[in-house]
Amino acid sequence: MIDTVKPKRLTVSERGPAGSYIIVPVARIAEVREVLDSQNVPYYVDEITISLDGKPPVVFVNLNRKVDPLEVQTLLDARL
Amino acid sequence: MSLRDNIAAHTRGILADLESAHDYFENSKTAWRIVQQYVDDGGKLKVDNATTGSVTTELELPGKAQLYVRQYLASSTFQQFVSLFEDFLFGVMRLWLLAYPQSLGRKQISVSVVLEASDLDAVKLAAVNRELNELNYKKVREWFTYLNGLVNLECPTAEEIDRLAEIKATRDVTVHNRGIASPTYEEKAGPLGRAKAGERLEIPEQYHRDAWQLIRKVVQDISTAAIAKAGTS
Repeated sequence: MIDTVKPKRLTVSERGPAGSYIIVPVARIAEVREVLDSQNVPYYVDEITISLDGKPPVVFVNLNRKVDPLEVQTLLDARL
Repeated sequence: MSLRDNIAAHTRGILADLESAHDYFENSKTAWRIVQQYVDDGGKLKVDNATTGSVTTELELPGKAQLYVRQYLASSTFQQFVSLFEDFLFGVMRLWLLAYPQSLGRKQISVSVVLEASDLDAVKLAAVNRELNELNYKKVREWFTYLNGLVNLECPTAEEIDRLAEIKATRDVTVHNRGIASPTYEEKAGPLGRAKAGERLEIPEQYHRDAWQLIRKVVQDISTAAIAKAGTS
């Protein structure tokens, strides 16, 4: 039997008026981009990546203010 | 110090401050990103602001942090980039005019300036400062017309000047009109305008980065060209 570890669910932050964001492990940024691009979701990715306490680095994906975070969450849940 | 040395020293200072400003932007953003991750990982916090009486917890801070990063931080550092650019350009023109004041020969200054001056250099400096103060209120495109009237540097390009004019217009809207584009913005920004009057003028990260890179390039180009011409004009 082969054990597989399911990757952590990516969640879209819904807080605040400045637009939502997603904290994405750098190793998964390509697939997240692909999903967002496939639905023409406007976003940009931070230039910086952050690794805390030696954990794998993450990067912030910033969604346009007008994007509905719930729609993007549904999209990520369905595709990733 | 020679004019060349003065321009080189002025340029080094401006470039160092430009890099510091961009580092401040990225490092401050990093600090907020760490806070957002901390909360995303289940962290709790409570901040009491004794001055305003406001209380912020892990429920509000990530959203506020996003606003601080995307709006306040981007806006304040962008303003700093533009201020540094103005400091650079007017600094170069000041150095040039002090070295070659003949172009001010037909300008008039009041007798009181002469009477209060300790020596001829003080008179020159007063005349140059007055000239540049007047120029500062004119349009960006006129700044470069003036500069190239002093010494033909063959830079920046017309396209770069248009972009700088839009950047300066964005800075003016940010400082004087709470980020809402005005008819004055439309007129100053010209064909590169990014918003109509009444619309919010955003400073997206890509624009922020492009503005910094353009300003750094133009500073380097003008400095190189001016140093090459100093002593030959």
